[in-house]
Amino acid sequence: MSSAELDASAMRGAHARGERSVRLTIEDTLARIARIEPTLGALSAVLADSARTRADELDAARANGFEPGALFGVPVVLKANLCQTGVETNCGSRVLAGWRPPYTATVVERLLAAGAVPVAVAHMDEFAMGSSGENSAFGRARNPWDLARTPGGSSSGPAAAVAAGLVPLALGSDTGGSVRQPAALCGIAGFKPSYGRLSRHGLVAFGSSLDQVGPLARSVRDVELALEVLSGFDERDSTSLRAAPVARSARTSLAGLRVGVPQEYFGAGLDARVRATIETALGELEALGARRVPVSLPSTALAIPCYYVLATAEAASNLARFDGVRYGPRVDGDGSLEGMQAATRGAGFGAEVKRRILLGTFVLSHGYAEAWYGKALAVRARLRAEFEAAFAAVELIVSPTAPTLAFRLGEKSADPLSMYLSDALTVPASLAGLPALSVPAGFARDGASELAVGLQLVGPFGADAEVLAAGRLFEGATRHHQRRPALAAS
Amino acid sequence: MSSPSASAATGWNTVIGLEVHCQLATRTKLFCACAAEFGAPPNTRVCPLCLGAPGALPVLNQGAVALALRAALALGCTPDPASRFERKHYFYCDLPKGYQISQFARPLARGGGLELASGKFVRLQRIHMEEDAGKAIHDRGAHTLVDLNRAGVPLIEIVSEADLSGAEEAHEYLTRLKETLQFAGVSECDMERGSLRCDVNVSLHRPGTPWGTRAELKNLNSFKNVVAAIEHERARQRVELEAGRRVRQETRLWDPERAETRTLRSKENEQDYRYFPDPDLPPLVLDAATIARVRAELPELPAARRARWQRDFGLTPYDAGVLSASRALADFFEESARLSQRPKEAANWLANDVAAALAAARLDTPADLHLTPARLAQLIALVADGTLHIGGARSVLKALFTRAATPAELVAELGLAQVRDTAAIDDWCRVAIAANARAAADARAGELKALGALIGPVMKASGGRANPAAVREALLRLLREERA
Amino acid sequence: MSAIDLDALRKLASLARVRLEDDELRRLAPEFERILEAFGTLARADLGTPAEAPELPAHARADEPLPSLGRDALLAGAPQADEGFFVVPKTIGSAR
Repeated sequence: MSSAELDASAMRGAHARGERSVRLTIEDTLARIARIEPTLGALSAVLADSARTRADELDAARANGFEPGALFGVPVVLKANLCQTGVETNCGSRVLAGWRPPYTATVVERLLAAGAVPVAVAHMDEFAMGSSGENSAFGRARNPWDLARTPGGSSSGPAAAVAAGLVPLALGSDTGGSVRQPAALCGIAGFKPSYGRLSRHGLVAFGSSLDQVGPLARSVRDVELALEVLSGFDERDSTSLRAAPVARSARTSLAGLRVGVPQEYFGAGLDARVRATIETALGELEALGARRVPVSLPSTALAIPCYYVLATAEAASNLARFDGVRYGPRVDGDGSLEGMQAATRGAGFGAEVKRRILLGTFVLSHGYAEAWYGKALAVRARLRAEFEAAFAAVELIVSPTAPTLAFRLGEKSADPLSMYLSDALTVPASLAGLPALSVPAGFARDGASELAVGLQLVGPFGADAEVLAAGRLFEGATRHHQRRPALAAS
Repeated sequence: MSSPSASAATGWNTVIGLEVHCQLATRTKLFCACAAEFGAPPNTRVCPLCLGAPGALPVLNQGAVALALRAALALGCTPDPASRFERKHYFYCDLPKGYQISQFARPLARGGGLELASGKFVRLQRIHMEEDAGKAIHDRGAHTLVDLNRAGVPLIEIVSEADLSGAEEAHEYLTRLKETLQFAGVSECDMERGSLRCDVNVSLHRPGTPWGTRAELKNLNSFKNVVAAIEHERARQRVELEAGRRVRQETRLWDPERAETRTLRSKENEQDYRYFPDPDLPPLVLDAATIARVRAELPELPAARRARWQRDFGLTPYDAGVLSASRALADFFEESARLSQRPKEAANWLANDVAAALAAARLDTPADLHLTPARLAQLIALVADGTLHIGGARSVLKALFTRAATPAELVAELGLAQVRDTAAIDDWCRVAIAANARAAADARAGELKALGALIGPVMKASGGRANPAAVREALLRLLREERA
Repeated sequence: MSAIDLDALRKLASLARVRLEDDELRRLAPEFERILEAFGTLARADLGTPAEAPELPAHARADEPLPSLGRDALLAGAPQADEGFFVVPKTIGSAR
C-alpha cells in the first residue's frame, strides 16, 4: 500500500511494528512530491536530505529498541511561519528571504519528539495575511480539486499538500480562519484549538491575541492524534494554557448532542451551493441523533471590522521588528538609518501586508485609538459573551466554514475588502478564542469542477476534545473525507 | 541656596519633577533568561527574544517583579492588583522589536513618596516596570554600532510629582531615593554603569500664577549634572521669559562638556507611541498575600535606621547620616556595634578614620579596605581595656587596611601595647627631669604647663607606648619625691 | 474616521516607517477609504465600556540565567556586522 493511502496513525503503526521502514515511507513521499508538486506549487522548500537522515536515524533507533513515538516516521509539512533552527522560515515574505531562525518552535520540537519527519516547508500568504495563498512572495499553491482555483489561505501550501496526498499531516496557523478555510476549500480537516492550547513559541506572530497553530489532516482522527502530541503547557509562552495534553474524547455517538445553528451565519453573503451542502450536512447530523437548535449571535456582523482592527493593530506592532538592522535583507535607501529602515520595509513587504500595517497603525494612532481599537475590544468582549450565552443551551455551534466555494486564483486579489469578507464565518470563534474545526461537509459542482465544502464546528472554550469527537463521528458516518482529488491519484 | 530664596531673588518659582530609571538587581533580563550582567563582550547576552527574532515570546522574570514590588512598598506606593504590560512603539537601531515593553495605563504602583530633611514630602506619581533598549555606539568610525546585551534588562521608572522647587531639593530627593533603593536591595543605583538614570522636567512661573511650560532634560548621568542642568535650564528659561518670549515644550539634551542644554526635539515632533496592552503577556496579578509577604520582607530603610541609631545608640544626626550612606556601611556599623557592644565608639571610628580612609582611596565600603566588623570590634576592645591608647589604635587601624592580621597580632608585631611597667615609666621620667632642669623647676614651682614639656620627651622615649595619664602621674610623683 | 487623504496616509507610512512610492499611495488611498467606510459600523457601534478579560494568574519564571546564543551564529544572519556589533548607518541620539 502506498503511503498516500495511509493516515498518520496507520503509518505510525506500520513503522512501529517494523512492517515498513521509515526510510521507505520518506522515499515514497519524496517521490510523490517530485511527481505532484510541480503541478500543485504548494511547497517552498523540500527538506529531502534532512528527512532521509532523520528517517535512517529513526529506523536505527527502533532497531535498537527505542520506543516509537505517537507520530513515528510520519512525514509532515510545516507552514513557512514555524521556526526550525537553520531552516529558512520566510513567512512568504521578501523581508525574511533567506532567514534561518536560531531556534525551533515548541510545536515543531514536540512533533520531532514524537518521531515525525518534516519533509517540506509550505507556501503561505505573506505573514499569514490572506485567504487565498496569493499574497506569497515565493509561490501560489493551487487547489488540488481544481488547479485554477485557490486552496484558500493563509495556510494554502499545507492544505494543498495534505489534500493532494503528499503527506497525511501538516501544521498551519489560524488567526482568523487560516487553517479552517483552506481545509474547507481543500476537502480536509483543519482545527484551530482553544487560544493557548498550543504554544505560540516559535510561530511567527501575526495577531498575537488570535494566533493559534493548527493541524491539517485528511481525517479528524489524525488531527486528534496531532493535538495529543502538540498540546500541553509550554513555559516559553505566557499565554499557554496550564493544562495537560488533550486526550481523545471517548464519545461514540452524537445522540442527544444539541447543535446550535446561528441564523446570522446564513445571511446574504452565503453561496447557495454552500448553503445547500451545509443543510444536507445538518440533516446528516440530525440523522446521527443530534438535535438542531436555533441560536443567535447578534454581534456577528461586527466581527469582521472588529477582527481587522485588532489583527492589523497587533500585526503592525509585530512586524515593526523587520527593519533591516539585525537580520534579513537590507535595502540602503538614502543612506540614513531611518531611510534604510523605511526602504527595507517598503521593498520587503508586499501590498497586502503594507495595507494592513497602515491600517493597524491608523487604528492605534493618536486621536483614533479610542474610536477604533477601543471599540474593537468592546465588540470582542460582547462576542465572547454572546457565545457564552449560546453555549448555555447547546454543546456545539455549527455553520459553513467559508461563505463561498473555492474561487479562481486572481478573482478577488484586486479587491481586498471582498477578500476580507471571506473570513466572516471563521473570525468570530477566533475573537472569542474558541476551539473550531472544519470537516468536509460534502461537495458542490461549479461548472466542470467538483469543489469541497467545509462544515465548521465550534465548541466552548477548552472543549477541544469534544469538538474533535463530534467531527470524527460525523466524518465516520458521512465518509466525505475519503474522497480524493484526481491529482492525488496521479 | 534653595528655591524660596531663589524665588525671592529672581521673582520666579521653579517647578521640578523627576523621572528616574533604575535597573533592578536581577540575575537575568526582564522577559528572558539571558544574564543581565554589566560589561560582557558585545552581543554575547542575546537570545532570540533580545534579537527581536519573530516568534520569540516574553516570559516575565518573577525576581524582577519581587524587586519592583519591593521598591514600590519601600517608597510607600500602592500596588495595582492587576497592572499591565503595554507596547510602546518607536523605531531605533537599539530597539530590537520596534517596541519597548513598558507599562502605561496600569502601572505597577501609584502614590507614595519620600520625606526630605526639611520635612517636605515629595510625592510620587507612579512606578512602572519596563525593559531597557540596547546600546548604540556612535563614536567609533563611520557607522553606528549596536550591542544588544542591555536590551531587555529590567528597569523601573519612578516618576515624581512636580513637587521639587530647586536643584538642591532635586539632589536631596535623588540621594534619598538612591539610598532607599539600595537599602531595599532593589538596585545598585550606579550611575556610571547606567543602573540609575534621570530625566528632569523644569518649568518657571511667577508666584501666584499658573505653572509655565516645561522642558524635559535628558542625558543627566550624574547627580552633579542634574544640579548643573537644572541651574542652567532655570537661567535659560528666565532669560526667555523676561525677554517676553515663550518657553517651548520640548525635550532638551544636557551637554556636560559645554554645560548647557540644547533642543533634542520639540513637541510637534513628539512620537505617537501607539501604546496597547501586549497580547503576549497577561496582566501582572499581585494578590494581597504576595504584597503582604514582600512588605514583611522589606529591610529596615535608611530613615528608620538613622532614627533608631540616634535614639538607641545616642549617635549624632551627622554620624547617623554618614553611616547610612550605603547599605553596606550601615550593615557594617550595626555588626561592629553588636560585636563590640560599644556603638558610639564604632560610629566614631567609622564616621571619622574609616570614612576618611575610604574617601582618600575612593572606595565605597570598609570591606574594600579589608576591614571586617569583627576586627573593628577587636580594636575597640583593645582601646577599652587599656591595651592601646588612641594613637596606637590609629596605627593598628592603618595596618589593618593592608594586612590580613588581627588587631591583637598587629599590636604585638608593631610593639604598640601600652607600657604599664611603672619601673620603665619611672626611668624615662627620671631621664626627662634630668635633661630638662628648667622645666622640672617650673613644674615643681607649681606651673602645670611646664609638665607638658616633660611629658613629650617621655612619650618619645617610650616610642608612644607609654600611657600619657600614667606618665603624668609618675612625673608628679617623682617631682614631689625629689622635693621631699 | 473621515476619509484618509494622501497626506494622512503619508504620515501613517512614516509612522510605520514604510517607504511607499507615489503610485502605491494613490492606489492605497481609495482602498483605505473603502475599508474604513465599510468598517465604520464598528466605530459607530454603541457598546459602552468593554468588560475586562478574565485575569490569569501571573505566569512567571525563576530569575535563573540560561545560556545566550553564540555571537557568531547571531551575527551570521546580520545584514552588516563588525567586531561583534551589528552595524547600521551613522545616526546620532536616541529616538526616545
